[in-house]
Amino acid sequence: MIVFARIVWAIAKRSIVRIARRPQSLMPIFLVPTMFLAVTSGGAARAVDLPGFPQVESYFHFAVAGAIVQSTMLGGLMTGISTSIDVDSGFFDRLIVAPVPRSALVLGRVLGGGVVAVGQALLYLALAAAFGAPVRGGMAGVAVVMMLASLCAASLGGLATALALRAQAQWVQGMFPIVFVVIFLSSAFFPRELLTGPAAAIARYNPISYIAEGIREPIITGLNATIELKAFAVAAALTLVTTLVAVWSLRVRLGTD
Amino acid sequence: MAGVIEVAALQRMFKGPAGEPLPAVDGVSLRVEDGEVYGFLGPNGAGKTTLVRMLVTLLRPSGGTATVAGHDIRREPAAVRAAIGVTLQEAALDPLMTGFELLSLQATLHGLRKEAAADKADDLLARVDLTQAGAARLGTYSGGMRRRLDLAMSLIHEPGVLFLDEPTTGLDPISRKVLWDEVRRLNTAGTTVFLTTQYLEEADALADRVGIIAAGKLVAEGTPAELKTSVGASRLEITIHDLETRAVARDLLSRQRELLDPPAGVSICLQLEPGETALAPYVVALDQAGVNVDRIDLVEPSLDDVFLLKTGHHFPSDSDSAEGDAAAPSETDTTGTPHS
Repeated sequence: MIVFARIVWAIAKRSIVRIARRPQSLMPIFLVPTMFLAVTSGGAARAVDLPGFPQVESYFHFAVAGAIVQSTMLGGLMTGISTSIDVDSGFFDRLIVAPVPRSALVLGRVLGGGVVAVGQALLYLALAAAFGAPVRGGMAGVAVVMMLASLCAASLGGLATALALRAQAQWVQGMFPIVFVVIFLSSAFFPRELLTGPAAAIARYNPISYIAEGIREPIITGLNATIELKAFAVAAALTLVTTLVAVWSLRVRLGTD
Repeated sequence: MAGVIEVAALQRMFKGPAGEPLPAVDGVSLRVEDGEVYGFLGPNGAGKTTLVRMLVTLLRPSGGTATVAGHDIRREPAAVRAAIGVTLQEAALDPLMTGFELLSLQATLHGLRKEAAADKADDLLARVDLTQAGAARLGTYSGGMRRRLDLAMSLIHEPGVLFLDEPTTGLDPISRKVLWDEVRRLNTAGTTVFLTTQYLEEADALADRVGIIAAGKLVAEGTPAELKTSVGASRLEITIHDLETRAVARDLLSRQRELLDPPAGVSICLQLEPGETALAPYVVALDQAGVNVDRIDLVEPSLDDVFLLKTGHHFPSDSDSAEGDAAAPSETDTTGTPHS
């Protein structure tokens, strides 16, 4: 078990070191959500006046959680793209020809994406604080945001890794617009209670809604056990399922064990 | 006693452009003994890499059986991986990592603790003469340095069987020589080496025995000397620039020995008798006939001659191979993963 954990961490560490040495690879996953946050914060500023809208400092305060979800989901896709690069370059063959459990190779990648997501969340929280949008849940709230952000990236990381192991890199890159659609069909940028018609129904069954709400609550209000438990349950279940799919995907790819 | 590598009727099919099954490896059987360097020689696309990928458990065979270090590649892949070291084609190394980091990672994958992994990495860097470059990122390494590091990574767990898939392809002659020396050193220390190569001279220089593969089939196998002897005797290659005396020489020599189709740049090619190695009688005869010979060479049989005899065409040169690859249909397995 200790050897397994050591291998998982070694793979995760490599993912983190690679990003630290080429930070420009993270630019798209910071720039796009940040620009979207800036645009919507200006354009939807009056939304906070709607009856039933949560009590927030500004729409920016409300939408920071959406930006964190967007950024960490895109970060999860980067885990898949990184896997595709390793597969295409042949480096992945070097890893799988070693006598290591296949699940360790997948878990390490997913964990690496999760650790990077903690940094992403902290960056957005710092940005929020700088623009007058504090985390009302205090340090415990910050910790909850970091953990959920990490799980959010890990869940997408598992899915993207599964895809990278069974298809070509273009398919992983093709998931970028799908991620945007999934986010906009959730309650990441608008309260679920104020959505109506099909949008409300879709958001209700969209797991990203629960993760976004779990990240948002500590920022705009404080810790709410029910919301956080739902968020952690959904995020953990998604991570578990997508990671298992990725492990299965690797085994099918190899067809050996 | 069983061989270290035993392959029986191994086969791997890929899908062709129209979905038709194409055999990349077609019923290959071979056996590699303990402590042997086995050279697996063939041009690009012949099936060398596909065979190696099956033997190192990266690719599932379509048919046949194989054991490596006593373990079945289908039923005991984890045991096979624990017993072997592998250097794959193209030295696929992460350019953002340092040599030390990659060796440490590889050591961790083989179960070493942090301190032991670091010690092992330092030891191997020294062994392949990369201590100075150990802290530099791979992106700054030359092709020869990358190959040496790649080899070091495959030696982390001191494997008894080493698979080297075209380890010197694309290297300059000096880097190639350095790698040859390291392979010899490892073999002397007891490591069994399965070496694929597209270089005739590499197989000739390193291998105890050579298997020649063409179009997925093993067409010849034996020691380099056995294979060359099987082709026949040496030949005489004569170059005469003057056209008139060339005709005289051709007429004279054709009465003594069988004439062969001369290779490019050679005027007359003469098949000698087995064991015949003396040039003098021919030189004297041509001199007495007033023929001014520009160049005369005694050419011993080569592995290229073996290839020619078994396949009907010469072993492709590097440039031929590149053209061939461009024209050949890609090999794609059922998962859509390309293989060379």
